[in-house]
Amino acid sequence: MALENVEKNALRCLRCSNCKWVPGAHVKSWRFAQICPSIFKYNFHAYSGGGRVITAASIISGRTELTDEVAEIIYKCQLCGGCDIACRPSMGGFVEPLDVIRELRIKAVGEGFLVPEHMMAIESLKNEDNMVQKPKAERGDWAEGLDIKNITQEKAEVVFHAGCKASFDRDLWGQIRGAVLLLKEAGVDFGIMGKDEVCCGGRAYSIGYMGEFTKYAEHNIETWKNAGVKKVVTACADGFGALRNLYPKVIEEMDIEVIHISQYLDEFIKEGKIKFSKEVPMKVTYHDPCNLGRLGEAYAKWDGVEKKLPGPIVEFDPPKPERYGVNGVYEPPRNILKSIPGIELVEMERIREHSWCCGAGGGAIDAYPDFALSTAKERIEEAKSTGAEAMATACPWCIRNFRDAVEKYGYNFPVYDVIDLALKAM
Amino acid sequence: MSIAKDAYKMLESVVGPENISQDPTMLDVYSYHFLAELQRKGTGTKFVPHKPGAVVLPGSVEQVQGIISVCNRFGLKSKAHSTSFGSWNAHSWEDVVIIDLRRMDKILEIDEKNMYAVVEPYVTWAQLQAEAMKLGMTPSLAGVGCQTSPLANVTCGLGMGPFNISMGFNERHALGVEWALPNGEILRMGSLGSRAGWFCGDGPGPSLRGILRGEYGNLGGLGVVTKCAIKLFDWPGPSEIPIEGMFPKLRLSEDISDRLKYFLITFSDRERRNEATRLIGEAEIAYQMYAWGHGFLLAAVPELSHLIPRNPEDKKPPKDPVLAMSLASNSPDELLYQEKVLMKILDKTGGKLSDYMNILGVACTIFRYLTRPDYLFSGLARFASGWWITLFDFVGTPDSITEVQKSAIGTLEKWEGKNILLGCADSYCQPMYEGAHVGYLDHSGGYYDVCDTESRQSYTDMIMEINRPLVEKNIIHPTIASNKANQRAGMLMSNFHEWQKKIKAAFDPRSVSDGGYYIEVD
Repeated sequence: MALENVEKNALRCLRCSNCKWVPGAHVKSWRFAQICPSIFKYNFHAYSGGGRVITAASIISGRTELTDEVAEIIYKCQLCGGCDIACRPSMGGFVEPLDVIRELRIKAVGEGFLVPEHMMAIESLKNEDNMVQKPKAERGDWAEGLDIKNITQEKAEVVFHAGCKASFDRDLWGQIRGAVLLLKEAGVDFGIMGKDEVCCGGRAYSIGYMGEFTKYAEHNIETWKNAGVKKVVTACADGFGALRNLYPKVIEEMDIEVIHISQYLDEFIKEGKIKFSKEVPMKVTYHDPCNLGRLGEAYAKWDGVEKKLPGPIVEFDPPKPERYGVNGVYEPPRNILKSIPGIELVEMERIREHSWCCGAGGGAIDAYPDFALSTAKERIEEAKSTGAEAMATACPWCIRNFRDAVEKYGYNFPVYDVIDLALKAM
Repeated sequence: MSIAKDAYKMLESVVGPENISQDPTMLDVYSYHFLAELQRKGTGTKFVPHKPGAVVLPGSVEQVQGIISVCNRFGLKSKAHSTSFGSWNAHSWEDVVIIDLRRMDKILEIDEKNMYAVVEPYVTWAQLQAEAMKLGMTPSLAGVGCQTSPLANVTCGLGMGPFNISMGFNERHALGVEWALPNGEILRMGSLGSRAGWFCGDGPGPSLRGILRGEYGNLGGLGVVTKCAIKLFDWPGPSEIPIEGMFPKLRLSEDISDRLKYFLITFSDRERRNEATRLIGEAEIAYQMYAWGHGFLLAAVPELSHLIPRNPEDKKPPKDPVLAMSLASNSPDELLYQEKVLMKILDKTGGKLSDYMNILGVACTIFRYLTRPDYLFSGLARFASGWWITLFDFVGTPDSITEVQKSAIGTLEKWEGKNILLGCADSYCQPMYEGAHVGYLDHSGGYYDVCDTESRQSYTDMIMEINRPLVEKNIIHPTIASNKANQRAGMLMSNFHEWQKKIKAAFDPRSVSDGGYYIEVD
């Protein structure tokens, strides 16, 4: 898509401000009623989903143009999709703010409005195949001593994709080491790519570098297919969202199933392959990562057209897929937590498709760390308001950002991956 | 963008550099408004023709006062808004200073004993109701959407909603008010003006609600209201909205029928429905109520929208007028009594409980629309990307409303299949108040494709054709008007525009508040 392809979307924004709020019937309090971290922090209307749609309309119609200031508006957004979910009950497929914002970023990159921190991440991607500016050679270090099949040398139908964030962050190794131990425990025949694993490219897409994203998508699919892979499992929600939702946009026939480790673990528990024998007495709340939840719905291609009916009704032919974020992965992580002896799961107000973003997405963690951390702070406040002693989630980017916010703001509030807690119970 | 540099600097010193902008794109975003594409002298898009001079985000009444003072000093106009849903939030001149009240978003107090809440401009209905419900109370929400501002609605603009039948028109719900006048003074109205608290809008301090908003509000043309106490009422339901499931398949999560009962009732004609609403009003049993045209019901409720014909040869939907309403009580015996009374009234007037309520999802949608209107109006956009709830509007008794509708129905039916949904000419939403003796008719159901010039033009032609004969008969009362429209309408209606001008001249001698949707003296 190009920005001009979303011109109609841009002109159709109702200016209703639904994009800033949890859908009305689900609002439970004054405190936790908002859904957009960007306008929550920056307050000007341009920082909302609708505001960026109008920005697109302004640029497309030649009223204003892309500038560094406008680029900042475009990039101070985690692409969490909250605006998209809140908009759809009224506007359906007419506006789709998330797609418009993505196109704005692609245009910004194409016209040279580049964020220095993003440029560094992309340089790292080009040189080291990861976006976290670490040496490629160290990528497989996390798996040392685990004796796992490497699919660059042996075939396997299942590949575990560790992801950039966890691979290079020792503090998060427990999550991915734990994931593969659980896969082993359940008897899954799987492999990893170790130091030859490369980025999924999802973050490149989110900051507007379509070319890089496409390159990595094509590389990964080809590599996996050559290794006989039929299923890729990841412990990173970001990667899950990229593989499940973004790859099909550029790969015609993926033929590879994408699942998140929590889905696998949920199955193992139900099948009795994983059993919990120890108590983990803890009151926890669960944070739904955006890319596992509302943006974790399976991609559904739409190549249709607009059709005018008498009335004058405008319909899409065929109808656009209904994407209200409700078909993301919500139950498996919760099921895991509920089956751990001693865990009491309490829910926040903004959950599932209305989850508040952790703050790490959309390139914000690189370019606007204050914004990323203040967004995380808001979520930690919400988590603490439930009376929980800790927060669990299912994404290394969420965990990293939450833990950094805990440290920065001086909270005493542990943040775990669901896998961490599962391992504690084994 | 040509406000003086000194003016900008002074504004910046009032709100801080992070709360002011003159960036061209930022200002263009503030120039985009719902329905602006229909303005005769507009751009044909939702961008209004004039560019603002700056946008500021005040965080307190002192900062609002400071902004107004700067505007007075430099001869600048200003226009304040909260959530800004509607073209009446737009500025009407070049270089207007836009005052975005987003940072003033607190619920300052909820007085449970005296049943009011003190709010700032950017609190939404959903937020206020969520907090009030925890205490067994609710405000009277505006039907336009729970993401909009109670303060703005109650003090500055309109006030129609499903609770009007039991709680009155929202103009009545402003108690103590803190008002930053266009001359920079702060006026505290009602009991607040005597430092007696927020509890009363009429004294013992200045009682100026008629000046502040009259029937429909000044729509930002007379200073900035910075705080308001809003009346709360009894809510016998649960402390949270009891819904579960995932959109679009929401459902009620608990049985609330011992305290709240919801009904969808059809009648053979409007006269019978009017008789029913009169009797219901006199019996004082309804808690929430809307009279709807059948076409509006089908358009507003997604679970019923498949009944709207897509082609001329498709089956036409019924035309039976509809009543959507609820009964409510903390006492099961009283609820039983109310229901008996209702059934007697329906028996007398031929009202029938609609089978639609048995369709999955409909009951929950009706509950949501009457209790926390979320996508009641904005959801109408799912047919075509452009719509306007008001082809014509009128305030009157149910009988006079019916007469007006009858005079327009022929023209409306002509437009079916063009800018009106097939079979849905009778599409209106009519909240009622004063015991159902007064209703606000919002005859809606017109659609257009925002991206299609011909469709927009056709829609505008339709509005003219429908409204011209009504205006000639002096039976249109402008609600959301404009400076020019008010001046024209005033000449037909007791010269109210002259009174508006006097008020404007007295309170805003330098015309600092943008009166484009209110009145301007010159």
